[in-house]
Amino acid sequence: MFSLGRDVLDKQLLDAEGRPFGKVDGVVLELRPDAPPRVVALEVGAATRLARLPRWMTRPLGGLATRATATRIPRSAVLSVAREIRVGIDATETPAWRVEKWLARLIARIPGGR
Amino acid sequence: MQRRRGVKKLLHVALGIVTSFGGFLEAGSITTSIQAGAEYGYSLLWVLLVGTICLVALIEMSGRLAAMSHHTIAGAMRERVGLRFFVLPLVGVVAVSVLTLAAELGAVCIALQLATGVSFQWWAVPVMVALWLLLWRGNFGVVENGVSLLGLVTVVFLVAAARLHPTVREMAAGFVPSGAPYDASRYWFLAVSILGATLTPYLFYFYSSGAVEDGWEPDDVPANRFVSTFGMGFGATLAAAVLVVAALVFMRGARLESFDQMAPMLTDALGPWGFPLFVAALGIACFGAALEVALALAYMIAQGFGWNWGENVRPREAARFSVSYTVALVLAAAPAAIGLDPLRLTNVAMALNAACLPLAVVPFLVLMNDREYVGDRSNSRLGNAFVLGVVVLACVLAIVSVPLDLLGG
Repeated sequence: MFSLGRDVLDKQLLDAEGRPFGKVDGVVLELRPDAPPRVVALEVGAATRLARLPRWMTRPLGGLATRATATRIPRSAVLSVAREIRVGIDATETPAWRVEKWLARLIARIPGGR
Repeated sequence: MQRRRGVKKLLHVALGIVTSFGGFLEAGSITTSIQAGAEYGYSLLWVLLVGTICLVALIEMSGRLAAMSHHTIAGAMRERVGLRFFVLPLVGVVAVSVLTLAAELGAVCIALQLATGVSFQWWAVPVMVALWLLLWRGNFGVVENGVSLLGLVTVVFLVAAARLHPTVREMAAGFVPSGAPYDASRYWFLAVSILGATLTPYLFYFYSSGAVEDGWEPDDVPANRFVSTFGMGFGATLAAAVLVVAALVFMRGARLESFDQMAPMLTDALGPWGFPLFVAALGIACFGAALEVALALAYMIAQGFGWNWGENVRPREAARFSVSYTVALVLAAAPAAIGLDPLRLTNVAMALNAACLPLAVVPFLVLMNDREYVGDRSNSRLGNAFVLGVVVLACVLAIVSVPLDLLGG
């Protein structure tokens, strides 16, 4: 048993290789008619983060906010929940790593960046 | 083997104390101490004392959090208070840290101007590039210790203070809290600036990151207490020495409006060596501080969003982190490059540091009282009350006195 607010949300996510994936920005629940809600996925990404912030904070971002994405990690991919949450997914292949990848490519062209 | 580990630990503690000592002075503490000493003699020494006790407490806490939980302040804060309440300290601390970085960078440029006669504006970009290269090429651990050891040149302020033979009784009286002898709004503005310069949030965010990277364990808690108390305590005596020298050499009540007026302050005590030593101390101290601020704010962003970070990672392995300090450095170089007065900038930055202290400290205190993070080593009630009291006081004073000072000046 985990408390979603305390043990899951905003915790550090590590991917299959132990790379820092990001923080758990959101938890996706499935509402079932005759049973308690169930966690089906975790989300990482700016889109989820922005949705959690009050409107007055996100409004100035305008167009930037509409381009934001989120990565959904199915519950089945979660390997362990402890101080960090480990998941069996390669972070670099997800949209959560898009900016990192793009910047890393840019840096690779600068001498000394390797 | 056991003995060898003991010796290693002892060396670690010694290095920690020496580097905190050598790295204590920076643009804010130097200028506010000079202004306070010149305008009010010893009578603001007590504010420095209060600020230092509070700083020691905060540094000790950040080391304890790291040792007990292996969490950095920013990482744990995001987890504990959630994104919505983390955003405010994040934006607040990052914004004032960029300003602080601009102040440090500007002061390095001023030191170069004093040394070469070439206007500080021209130095902004070269200094920014030098700072950036050191961070970008990695091995920051070595650089940091090296710069902090060079920072021991700031001991000249202590030497100068001793050579001027201040009256001990008068100095002691300065440590007793008192109200303003004259011009109350200026007095409290300087008091806020001293608190802001002593309690810059980047200091404890930076310290916690270093402790996590070094892999501190619960049995490091006593050593941490020792390092934070003595490192910061000795460091603060340097700031007090700056204040004492300024009190003795400048005409009482003189309002110093530029670094040019401050630069000769060591000449009375140290003769022809005074000027070059002042320039070296200012330049090195602020350069070291600039490196730390730039890293600290990139740490905070990366830890808050769960990115890769570290002082010795290759830029490509932590692209977003490396880009964060790069952008911060570019922003921070802008004010000096367009000729904005670094002294004014420093004054504003320190006052804003004070104003945003509750944002940086209150959620941190929440962590330090949560057994899930610090186990049985949570804060004492006295510690909580004292730190909370000082930061709220600093914030309230900042909000009241800054507009008054700006209107008056």
